[in-house]
Amino acid sequence: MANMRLVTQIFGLILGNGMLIGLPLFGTSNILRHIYLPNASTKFFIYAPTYATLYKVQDTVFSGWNSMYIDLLLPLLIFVVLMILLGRVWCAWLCPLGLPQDLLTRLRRTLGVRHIEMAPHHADFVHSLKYLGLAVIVFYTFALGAPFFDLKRMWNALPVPYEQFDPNRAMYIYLQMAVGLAPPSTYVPLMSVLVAILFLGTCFAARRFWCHICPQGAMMSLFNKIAFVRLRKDPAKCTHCRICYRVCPMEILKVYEEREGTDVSSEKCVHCYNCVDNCPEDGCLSVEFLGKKVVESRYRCQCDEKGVRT
Amino acid sequence: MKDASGGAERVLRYMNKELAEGAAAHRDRIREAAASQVQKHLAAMKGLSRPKAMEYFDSMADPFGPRAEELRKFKEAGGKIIGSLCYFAPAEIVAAFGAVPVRFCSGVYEAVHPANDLLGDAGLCPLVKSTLGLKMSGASPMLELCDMVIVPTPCDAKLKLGEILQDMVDVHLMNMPAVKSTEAGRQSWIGEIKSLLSALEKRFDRRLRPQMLRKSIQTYQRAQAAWRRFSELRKAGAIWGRDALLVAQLSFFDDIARWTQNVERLSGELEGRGPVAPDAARILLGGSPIVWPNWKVPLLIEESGGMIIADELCSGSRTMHDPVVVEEWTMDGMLVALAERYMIPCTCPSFSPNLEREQNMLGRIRDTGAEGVVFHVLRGCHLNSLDATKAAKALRERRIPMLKVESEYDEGDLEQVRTRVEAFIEMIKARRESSG
Repeated sequence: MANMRLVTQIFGLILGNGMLIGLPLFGTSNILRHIYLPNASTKFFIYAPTYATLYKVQDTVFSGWNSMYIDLLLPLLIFVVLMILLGRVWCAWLCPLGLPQDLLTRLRRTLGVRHIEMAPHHADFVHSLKYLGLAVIVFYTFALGAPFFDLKRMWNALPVPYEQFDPNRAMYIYLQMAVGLAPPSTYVPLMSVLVAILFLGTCFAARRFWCHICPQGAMMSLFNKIAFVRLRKDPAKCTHCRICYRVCPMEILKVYEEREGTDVSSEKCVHCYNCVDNCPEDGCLSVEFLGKKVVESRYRCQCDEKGVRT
Repeated sequence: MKDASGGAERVLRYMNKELAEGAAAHRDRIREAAASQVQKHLAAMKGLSRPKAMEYFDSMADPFGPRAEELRKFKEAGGKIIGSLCYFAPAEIVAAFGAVPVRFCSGVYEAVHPANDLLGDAGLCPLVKSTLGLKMSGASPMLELCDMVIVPTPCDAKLKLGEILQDMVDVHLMNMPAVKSTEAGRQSWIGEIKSLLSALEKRFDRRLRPQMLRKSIQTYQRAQAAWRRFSELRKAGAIWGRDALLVAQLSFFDDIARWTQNVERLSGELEGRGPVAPDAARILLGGSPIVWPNWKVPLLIEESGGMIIADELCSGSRTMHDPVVVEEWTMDGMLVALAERYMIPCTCPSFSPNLEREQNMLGRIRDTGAEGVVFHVLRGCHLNSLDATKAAKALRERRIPMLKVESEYDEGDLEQVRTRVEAFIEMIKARRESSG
């Protein structure tokens, strides 16, 4: 399944986001520009066909005081529909930040370097930071834009936050410059460079660390309860071997611990399905879309595998 | 008393010269009794539809026989042999050093006598007494070849066995946490696994390279895969439970790659075969370990019209069922994967709260269509006896019949147990008819 994901991730990176090669055709399409995706590219990319919803949210919350934020309606509606359809499947299968994280893990494993494992309660704490991040971003941009706060002069010191922090920006704009898509004079905020360095470091050391704290992920997590994609468990088939927890990059204990219920979808889950892939009990874990089984766990011998898994 | 390897004088805390001489006098009698116990049970197992591939397992079945001879030659050529007295010691780690792991729990009835002479405790677990008796008398050639014995301490009997054995052989104790559901319990067990590794590194005087451990884990993964395939066929009723249990037990001391090959061969032969006894009552056997050649209970069940379609014994499918899945192939990642595999899914009654046990039992009943449970308790195994009470309640609530059978290491209780097992199986069959 990891290799399947690699394919969709590259597909997502190239087509959906137009980051490396850039797709002028999409880049000029006005219709596409209005379809914001849960975790597409940063809006500073040349030829990016569309942006992340979070950018639209930020921009509108900042500038929409006079228009009653009416501009937010359509993007949020699209976002909710996409969330109900796919939930955080975006994260493991399409996100342009997911791919480098998985590649870093592959690299680390090839080098035989130990990863940093977070204890469950630490992971829970780190997970909760993403909501804090999202709340700060939204509140700060709102405060910047709302006249009664009178914070306009803060703009120079600390402009709209996620545009500055987004590690995407530093990671891919330099690539675009290298292949000549972006002019060498393109501005990259220092903050983005720093976050990108932090991103590379932490995600090399810990599996999918960015996903733990990603504010876009936080937005998506809010809709976990109503998404059509569910992770299911048949507790009667579970031997409580803890493999699902060990292979989970998000350190989710619920799948391992559940003994009664059948729904083990978690708001922390990025839907990489490592657990389903590695569960040794046939039919114990499965992925459902609208009540229909898409894939379920099957015992297979790890000794037959080739290469490293992510 | 001298060390097996001619090392330093041992401090004797339990044994003395008289006891040792007395035990040694039992040696030949134990050997003879064990051989006849093995032959008797093997003869009882040979039926009409016995698969040809079982011949290999029959030929290896005598724990004092051909495999012991192989290991003697292996040791003469400079090889190391490490014994372990419980399920919990990961064979992968021992094998990674190129040493041969041999798991010892004794099922030889006669061997309990020297231990009774020493301890005078008639109520103690016979499996532990028999194992101790084997070592005291020196009857088991395989046990005598062990350079060191790893003794995990899940229960009181094993805890003290590890101590007493130190009079006779080098022992590495592994502290078993009784609560495994907490992070502290898990960490403590991972620590034990790591200290086992350093004890072995010290004994063999070399560091274990990750590559060696990886290869060893993969060898066992293949064995686990072979067992899974075999279990499916067993579920379909293609082989008697008594044979399947013997296959599982031989993984205790056989060369694991050869064992895997032969299990695959056996599965190949069974593939496509219908059930050997379609009308038999489908029984799940659980409870205290049933160690070859203590085949009393499995034979009784299958001679009385039942068929052991599945088991949850640490001496049976638990040995091979759970795979080791390594996510991170670093030394640490492998050790954690091993530690978790041997402890977390284990349903040994030494853990509390042992919620997994009835859950696994129920899951397996659903999966295999077992019609009843025989819960075997070795006399003196209080932990399994207590778990039987819990299992009985869970099963009663789901209207699945369960029979608790207590047994000793002798044949005195044979007929009494037979009567109860027969009545139980008849009841299951009667239920079948009444429910249509």
